[in-house]
Amino acid sequence: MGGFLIRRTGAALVVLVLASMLVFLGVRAIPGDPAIALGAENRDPALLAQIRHKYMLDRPLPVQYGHWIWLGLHGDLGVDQRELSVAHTIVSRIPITLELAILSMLIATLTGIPAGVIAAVRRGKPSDHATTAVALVGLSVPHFWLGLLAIIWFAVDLHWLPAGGYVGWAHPIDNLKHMIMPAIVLSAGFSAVLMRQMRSSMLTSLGADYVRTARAKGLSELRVVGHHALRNSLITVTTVMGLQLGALISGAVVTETVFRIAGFGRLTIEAVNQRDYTLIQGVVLVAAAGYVVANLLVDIVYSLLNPRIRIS
Amino acid sequence: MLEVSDLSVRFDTDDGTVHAVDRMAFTLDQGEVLGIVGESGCGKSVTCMSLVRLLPETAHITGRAVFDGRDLLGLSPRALRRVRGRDISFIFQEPMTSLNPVFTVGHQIMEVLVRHLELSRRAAHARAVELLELVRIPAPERRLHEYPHQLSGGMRQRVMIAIALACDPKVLVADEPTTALDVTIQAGILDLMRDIRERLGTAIILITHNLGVVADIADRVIVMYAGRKAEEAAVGELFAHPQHPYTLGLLGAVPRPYEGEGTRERLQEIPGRVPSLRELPQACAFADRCPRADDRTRSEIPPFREVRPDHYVACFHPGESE
Amino acid sequence: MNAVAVVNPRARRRRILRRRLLRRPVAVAGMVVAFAFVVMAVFAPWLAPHSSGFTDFNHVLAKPGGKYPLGTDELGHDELSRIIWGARASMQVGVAATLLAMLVAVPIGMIAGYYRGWVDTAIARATDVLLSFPFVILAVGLAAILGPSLDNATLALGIGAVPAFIRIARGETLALREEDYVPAAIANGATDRTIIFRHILPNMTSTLLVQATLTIPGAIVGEAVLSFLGLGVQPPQTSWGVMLQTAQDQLQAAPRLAVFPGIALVLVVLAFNVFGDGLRDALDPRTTR
Repeated sequence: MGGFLIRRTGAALVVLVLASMLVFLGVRAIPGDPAIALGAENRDPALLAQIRHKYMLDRPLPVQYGHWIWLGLHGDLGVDQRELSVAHTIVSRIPITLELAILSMLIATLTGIPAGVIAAVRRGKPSDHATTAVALVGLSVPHFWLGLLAIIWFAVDLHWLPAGGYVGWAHPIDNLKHMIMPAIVLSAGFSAVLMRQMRSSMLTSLGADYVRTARAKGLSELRVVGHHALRNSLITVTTVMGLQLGALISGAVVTETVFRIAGFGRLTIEAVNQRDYTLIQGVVLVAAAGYVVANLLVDIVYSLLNPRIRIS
Repeated sequence: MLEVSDLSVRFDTDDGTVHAVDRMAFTLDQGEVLGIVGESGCGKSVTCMSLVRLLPETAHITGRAVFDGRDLLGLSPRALRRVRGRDISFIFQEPMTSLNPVFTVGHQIMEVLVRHLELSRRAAHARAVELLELVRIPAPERRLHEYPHQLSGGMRQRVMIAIALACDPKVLVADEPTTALDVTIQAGILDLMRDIRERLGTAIILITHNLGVVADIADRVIVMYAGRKAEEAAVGELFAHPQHPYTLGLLGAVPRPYEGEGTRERLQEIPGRVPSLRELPQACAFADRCPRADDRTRSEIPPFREVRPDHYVACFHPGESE
Repeated sequence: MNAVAVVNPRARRRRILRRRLLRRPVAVAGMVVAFAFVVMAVFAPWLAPHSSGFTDFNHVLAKPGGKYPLGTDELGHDELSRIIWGARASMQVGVAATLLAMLVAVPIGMIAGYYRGWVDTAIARATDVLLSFPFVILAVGLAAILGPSLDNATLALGIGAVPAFIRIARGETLALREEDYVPAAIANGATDRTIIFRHILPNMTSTLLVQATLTIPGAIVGEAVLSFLGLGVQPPQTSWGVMLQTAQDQLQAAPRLAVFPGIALVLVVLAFNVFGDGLRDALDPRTTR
């Protein structure tokens, strides 16, 4: 397992470095004076000079890159248009998006996995066709539209839930009321993918020799499916999670826009709309880095779950 | 102890019905080792798996299988599950894939003990150690905590045997137990099985296409062809006086070491192929490939009858020479 | 049936494919609906009752019926016309992004699969870097550099679709280069380029076709998402995503504005997905129907 982890961490580091280079070059690719892009929107000459000095804009590119990374690793992601610390803004918004993401994943897991298991066990029967069809619809419906519909129905028509916004943890019930619709909407796609993967994985497991052995041992069907087959399938499905996290981040951006939640996702859009390049740069960097790290964590979890990798 | 009569198994597939087994019958006494021999697809595995309904849902099983006074084929699924793993156990061909890769060896052994004998975890643990010793696996305490991928092929098969013997079954069905193993390991497994029969008195049904294995440990042998019985006799009798042309063909195809006299014999193949199991031919199934075939064998099913003392054949022209 | 038709392998394969496809009525339905949308997109100028920018300030937020079958929005745009014009934008982006992705990714994937070694590793790393940016974040970055527009949305979507095509092209190439005709061709003096383009590429067309059919709906939805976020099609041009953005502002007053573009999106996506799935099953030699 150690070897596997070292390889994966090394690969993740390489990807992180290359991604940061891409972001760096991207900012330099914006037409115009980079100093303006990096924080001197008002073109104040004194500020421009300050920025040029801070980011070493007169030095060769590799030096600039190194310095920029150095600053970033120390938590200095620059200052945005309103002269607020980018790092601070990002950090204050992340927990909101994190809550949304975790809630969504929870809902998706609790719906998608059992659905997939049932569909596999009752393969070919009506419940299989029904669940597969629901999953297909879940994959096809753009979830931001789902969000709009949900708002129309539950907020505008029925007045059961608020139409948007966010309430902090100080009021947990209110917080949940605001988060429940966005979380369900965001979970739709993820749940559909989980269901399909789980079904496919269970079908493979149920056809395996060890399931035949389990039956030959006289174990109950419940144990054969729920213990022997399920464990193998769950482990396989973990590998899917990583890719889905990226879709989750993208989805969070959209969901927060629909439900007007001031989270990290919405920050991304605000930054673009305001042409606030320092903020954009910080946001893109943090998003990419977060995704790579999350993927690495999924890999670690997988290597812990799979005995063949854990003990090799 | 086990009496099977008129057992037929057919499968409903998308392309029609496949008749895998046609009116099989055999008996198994306590402590007896019965070898069922035949090439791939002749129905030997299906026959045994049908006894405890280990077949997919597309299988239709008819006939009787009386075990300890009860007809297995008439049991409810719950009652059947009490027989599986406890009175009748199986070991299969591929030990690597037959064990669940995500659970420890100990877990998979103790599972049976807890399920059927309702032992406590500690008692199950102790018995599991005993079982690993029984199948001659060194350092059993440590092995219990290991995963299947950490063991060699031979050891995995021994673990399978340990699982199968956990509840002291009356019958052990071994489906090609040594086919996937090296020849040197094979000998060890067969030794073990002989040992088990002697020490525990377990009856064994040994399914194989390898006549050498059968000669090694079986008491009686049944030769199957295309879902039907071709020949049945005690092992010594069968090898000394084979009657069915198919058996003769099989024996002729066994490589024998060159003993330095005369010309080397060519390995004889049996020309032709096994007939499709989609139709039940109302004739001898072997007719197309048989040098003794005539009009009668092509139009009537040969009856299974005794041609020598306690030696039965389904053939119109039985005999030892071509 | 004349002898030539029976013997010609390509024609025979097409006939088998048609028969297998026809046995899947759901897939055929998907194909028909998808085709209908393509037609709607292509013939929009003739099909739409009004031009895309047409407004009628006297009938703002009109209910469906009468002169405006699907109603109007807060600026007096005819919803029906906008849906048809929106189909054009969505189709355009969907198809263009997919084609762009294929043109770039397939050669790269084939090179990675054919030459393997360090080339393959380098391409794999590059793909990983590309994949490290969640799709919307990527679009945000591109919009920041190049400015939001329909073309840039197409670019962002195309880039997003590249990794999947690379993976498929690479996988197919890895398998196909082991076929017997490859060393035979080499023995006959064929260059690498000939082998790749004349022997390997034609054999992966069906897999690529299936992947394309399944990529288009993703691109269409992606365009809607980007336009909804303000990163894609800009007014006065319209697409379904833009319509939904407008609808969001009018959620209390006219919730129906959100319904029609969404239904259109769902129909198109379902149609392509169902058709793509059916096509894949029909082409798979392992499935029996």
